[in-house]
Amino acid sequence: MNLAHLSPAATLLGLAALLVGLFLLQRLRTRHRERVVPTTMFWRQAAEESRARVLVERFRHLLAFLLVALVAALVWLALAGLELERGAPALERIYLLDGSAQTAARGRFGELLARLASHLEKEGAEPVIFCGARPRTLLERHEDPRLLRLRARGLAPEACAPAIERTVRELLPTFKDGRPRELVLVGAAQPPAEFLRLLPEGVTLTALPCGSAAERPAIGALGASPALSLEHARADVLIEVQGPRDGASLLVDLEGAPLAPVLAGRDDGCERYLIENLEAAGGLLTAALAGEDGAVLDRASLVLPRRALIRVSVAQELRPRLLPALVHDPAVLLVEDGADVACVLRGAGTGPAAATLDFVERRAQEAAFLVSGAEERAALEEALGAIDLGAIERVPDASSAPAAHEEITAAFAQGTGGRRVSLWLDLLLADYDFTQTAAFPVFLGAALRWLAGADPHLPFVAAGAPVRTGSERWRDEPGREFFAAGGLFTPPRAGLYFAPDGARLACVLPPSDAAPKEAAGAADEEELPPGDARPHLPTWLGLIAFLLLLAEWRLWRSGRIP
Amino acid sequence: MHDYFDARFLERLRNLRILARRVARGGRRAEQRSLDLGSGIEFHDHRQYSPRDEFRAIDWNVYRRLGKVFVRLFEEQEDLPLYLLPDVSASMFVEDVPRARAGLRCALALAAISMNQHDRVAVFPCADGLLAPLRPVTGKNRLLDVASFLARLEPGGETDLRKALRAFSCLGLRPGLVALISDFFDPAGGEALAAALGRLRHRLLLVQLVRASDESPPFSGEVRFVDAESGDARDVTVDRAALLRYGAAYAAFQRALTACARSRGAPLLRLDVEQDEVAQLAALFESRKYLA
Repeated sequence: MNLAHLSPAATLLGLAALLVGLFLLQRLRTRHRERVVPTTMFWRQAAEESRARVLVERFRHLLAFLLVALVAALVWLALAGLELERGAPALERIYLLDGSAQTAARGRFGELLARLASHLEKEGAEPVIFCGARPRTLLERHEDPRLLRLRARGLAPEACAPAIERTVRELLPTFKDGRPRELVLVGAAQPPAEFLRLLPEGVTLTALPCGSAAERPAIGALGASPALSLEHARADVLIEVQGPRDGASLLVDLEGAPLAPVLAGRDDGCERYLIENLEAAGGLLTAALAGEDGAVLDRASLVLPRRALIRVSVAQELRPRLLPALVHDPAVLLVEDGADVACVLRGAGTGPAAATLDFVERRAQEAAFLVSGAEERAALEEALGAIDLGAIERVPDASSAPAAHEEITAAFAQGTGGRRVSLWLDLLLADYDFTQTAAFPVFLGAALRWLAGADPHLPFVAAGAPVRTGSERWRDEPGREFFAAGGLFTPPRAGLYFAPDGARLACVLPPSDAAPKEAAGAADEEELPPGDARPHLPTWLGLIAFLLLLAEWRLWRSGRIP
Repeated sequence: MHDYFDARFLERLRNLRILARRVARGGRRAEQRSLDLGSGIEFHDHRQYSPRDEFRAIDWNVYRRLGKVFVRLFEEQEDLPLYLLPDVSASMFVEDVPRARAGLRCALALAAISMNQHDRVAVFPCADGLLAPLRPVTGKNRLLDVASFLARLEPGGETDLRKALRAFSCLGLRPGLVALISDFFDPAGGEALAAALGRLRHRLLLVQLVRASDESPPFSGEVRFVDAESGDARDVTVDRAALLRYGAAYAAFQRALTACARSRGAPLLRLDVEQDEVAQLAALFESRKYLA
């Protein structure tokens, strides 16, 4: 609530206070000492009424008081009575604008935005929340609906899954006043019935009719996953095409080399294509839908992960324990020399810069597992989680410590050398052998991948979500530069990003209108949306108050009121 | 109202005398000189004989020396009718020391003077017209009758001197001396008063009852002035500027009244109601410092 938008109760309260104040002012009069004199004819000539006294005289006059009270009441209602004009609706309506990747196709997002804006300009402003990678409020209650168009400038769908359910879950704790609310979905599909049943009483979910999707086909999804062939250095790519094809052809290329997608399935107007065993070498895969005339109807890009085999050398003493797990890891190539990662005992035979998996004496380190490297603490902490050491304690076999009452802990430490993961030799004793637990292959695979700096497989990179990269400097397609402290980069929006070392990052599914959008800023006057032609109650109230003032002026001029 | 005429005041009235330069013909014998010639004892002049003159008046000594018939003229001693017109409008009875007190005492003083000279005195109280009068009385022993009449007067309505004087002039009284005693706070203004006075065939004496606060009122701040006669209320912030404007308005009123008296050839006595009336009258008559 603010001064411009008072609730009906507050408006009436203010109106009553205003009238009471005016009444008191009307009663307020200059206290004169009364003197009976033989004649007042000299005082009549001498007296000149001051303006204040004239005001008081005016208030004493009934007609003048009524006019002033009416004018004041109208001005008050014009200032505070905006909620009154709609009869103080008990139902609060919140619009949830889908900003997920699926609305990027065929200009769907623009259509949704235009539909919502015109709807609000007719019905009045209600809160609008953009449901992208992060929910954001685009319009507050009672703001001018035209602000929505201005704030949506530069706004584009983000590379994320539909976030309606997540947004609703975040909103629900804020509904504490028991007021009935209607959540209106704009463009998003209705959540499943299980979710709807969990909604509290008084909260309903409806959808704003936005018509069907555009008639032309579009790429609805594009993603990469580890290859089903289990080859570590390869990936499979899924392409989803929505809408009627109408002769449009799907063209896919990897760094310019055309690929042949294979139709994997079709349902509900949606076709899915699969490209298997692509080399995961960081190549840029582009999928485009071309019409019969060759015009590109839609296009999407994806940077494939960079995944090479990890060359691992194992010390002789450790081979009986480690090789059973290593030979089954498709990412590992056992070598004698030139290894990316060396598995050693007590640090023997390793250089200071080499990445090592070291088995050390218990006294050498306090923690059972120690991750160290030259990276920042945050990166090491992230690595600690990446190699899944936290899960070891939850493995029943591993939780039974070799020594009674001795806690198995994991830690990280900053160093100056290369990456290193060290663990106690005691974990390999005969009565408790960590390598025999189910957790060991998981730990070993993750540790080797981190030690080798293997590119992690990212199912997608969402705009607004941080991703750890190997570079601190990035630029987007228009050339704007971004600084990612510690390699933690947060792409601001969907699109391709480039690092100086040649690395690429794609927030998949950029908007179909791929022209770069500027951030929302001050709008040019000529771009302002057309004005609202509906009668505006505060304006009319102000106009009536002005006319009453004119009438009062005429009455005063004619001597009807003092 | 009886407090107005105490014994000391009545005693002091004995010393007052007033002389009139002219009196009208046909009245009773009194101590005033008249233009009627013949029956008096004080020689005045000669004139040629004309038919119907009394033979007793022929100055035979002149006839013997000049051979022409002249008659001797003597001044007649006649009375001077005094018509007292005290203002008894409501404005005369307000304030701590009401103007009516001084006005009625002044009227009684004038009556005493006249009655000491065997003149006849009539009282015509006026407010928004003429009220019930006191018929002409004469003789020194009738002064208490006049005092009693004056003491019974009640406050009247609003001041309307024009109406009162018009009614008085219609009475057709023998010309005499009219003493109009008032504060002259007539809403009709000075011009109306002058017109009404112009119709009177009598000698005129104007007695204006004033007080020092009329010229410089002792008010300040927010004051609501209520007119004693009309009840009209006027809210005034009495500050220096307002007092200056009031002073200017009052001065204009005084100038208009003086001009009115002067144009009529009537003396204008300004009597301070807060001072001793007898002393003021004596001083004024003795010094003849009339304003008009």
